[in-house]
Amino acid sequence: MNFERIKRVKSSKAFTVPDAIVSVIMVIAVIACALFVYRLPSADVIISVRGEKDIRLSLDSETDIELKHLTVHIHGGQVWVTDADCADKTCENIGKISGTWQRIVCLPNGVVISVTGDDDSLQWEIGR
Amino acid sequence: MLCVCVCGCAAAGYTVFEPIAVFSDDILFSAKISGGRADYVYKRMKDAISEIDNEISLSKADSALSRFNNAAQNERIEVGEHAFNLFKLSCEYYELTDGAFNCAALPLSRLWRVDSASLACLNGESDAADLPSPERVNETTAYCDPNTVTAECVDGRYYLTKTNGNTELDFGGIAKGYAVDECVDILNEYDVSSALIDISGNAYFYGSYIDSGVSSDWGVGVLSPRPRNGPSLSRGYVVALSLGGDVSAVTSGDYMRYRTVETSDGKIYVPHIMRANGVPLGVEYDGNNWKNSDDWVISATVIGNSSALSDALSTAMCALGIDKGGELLKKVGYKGLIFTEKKYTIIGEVSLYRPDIYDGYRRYDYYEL
Repeated sequence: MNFERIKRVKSSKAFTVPDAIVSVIMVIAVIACALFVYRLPSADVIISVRGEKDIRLSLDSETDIELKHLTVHIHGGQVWVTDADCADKTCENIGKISGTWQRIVCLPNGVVISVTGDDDSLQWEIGR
Repeated sequence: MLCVCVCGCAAAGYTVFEPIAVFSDDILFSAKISGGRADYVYKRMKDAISEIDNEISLSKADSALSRFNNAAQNERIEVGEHAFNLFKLSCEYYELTDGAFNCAALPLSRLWRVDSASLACLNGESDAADLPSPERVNETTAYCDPNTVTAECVDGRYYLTKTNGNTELDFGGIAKGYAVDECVDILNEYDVSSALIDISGNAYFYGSYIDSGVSSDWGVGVLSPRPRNGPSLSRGYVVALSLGGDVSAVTSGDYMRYRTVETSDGKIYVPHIMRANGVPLGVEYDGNNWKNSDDWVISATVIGNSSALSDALSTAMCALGIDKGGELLKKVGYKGLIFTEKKYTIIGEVSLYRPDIYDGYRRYDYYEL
């Protein structure tokens, strides 16, 4: 048996710099896996025009939708309206929304913009 | 949404049946069944609903209920077992809800033009027709009472007789729930492990939800009551429920069937839900004109074993208001949620599904009962 080697190992530091690097990498990997598996369901933006047509887009879509009477902006997980041609501009004044209970309504132009959760994870809906 | 749900459920091992119109063009029957003889069970359920419809439809002139409504005072009308059962149940619920659920309110609905036929004619447009006078409402309310009808079962045959010639019945308030309960009885006869039955929002969750062989609770979204006239997709969910098996969930609200009326003081909303005083939910008389109240129940969800009772209670919750409605639900032992324009309350131990996402309820103030 190599007693010298055993002695050297016993006298070395228990937690070295390479050990720390490997540990940090492992922690990051575990967090990344957890986020992937348990990521929050994405939300969607529903744009309804005069109750007839529903446009559905991801809240992460980073886009601008030019409708006939107003423009809808979806950026940074928020939705807002500009360029409304109505007189009261209520829809513009509501500002930015992001919660699933929030909505922007432009009554003169019949536009309703709302944010929904990941509806597909539900098995059914009631209250129709 | 429905397509996605249908695809998702097919993958989960359910036989999914496309929605079909029952009772009327706008009432849809949906079903998905796992285990047992799904096709045969579905056919039995469809036949049962059709049988009920034939007895109680008001759009069919030869239905037992149409014949009863057109009958003269003291004329005995033979009806089927379903119509008889529905009348007996309705009377029971009338007493239970102190008149808030009333199967004899059809003349009042017609007076306010919120019955099915009047609403179909209006097709969502504002109505300039005059609202009834308070005197006319009181006169009509006097005979809108199911106690003016006697029910008899003689030698296995069923009869209804009205003691006031003006009385008319409409079982639309519990017919969907009653039909769902009949469907559940059929599911019980066969080796069905899990199923979902829905007749336009009267849902029953039979057994646990099964996905890839794993059982779990059902995640059920309750559509937001606002905005009133928005398509369901843009309304989003006010809350989502996590429901264990063998339970029914029913929602009623002021946004489902209503008309708008232009008055000299502006536009008012007249929902189809009638209160015991003969005035629709959310409407009041200020001495000169009818107007909308400051606050009223806009959505009531009831969770319980019987879909018929849940159906009646959800209507009664709206008519009674958040305090009396909530107390009644507690008394019956069912669970539920009541929303007004400003506040909400939860009755019993209601388990919410992902309240972090389905958080529409947060815009209402919590109200402790």
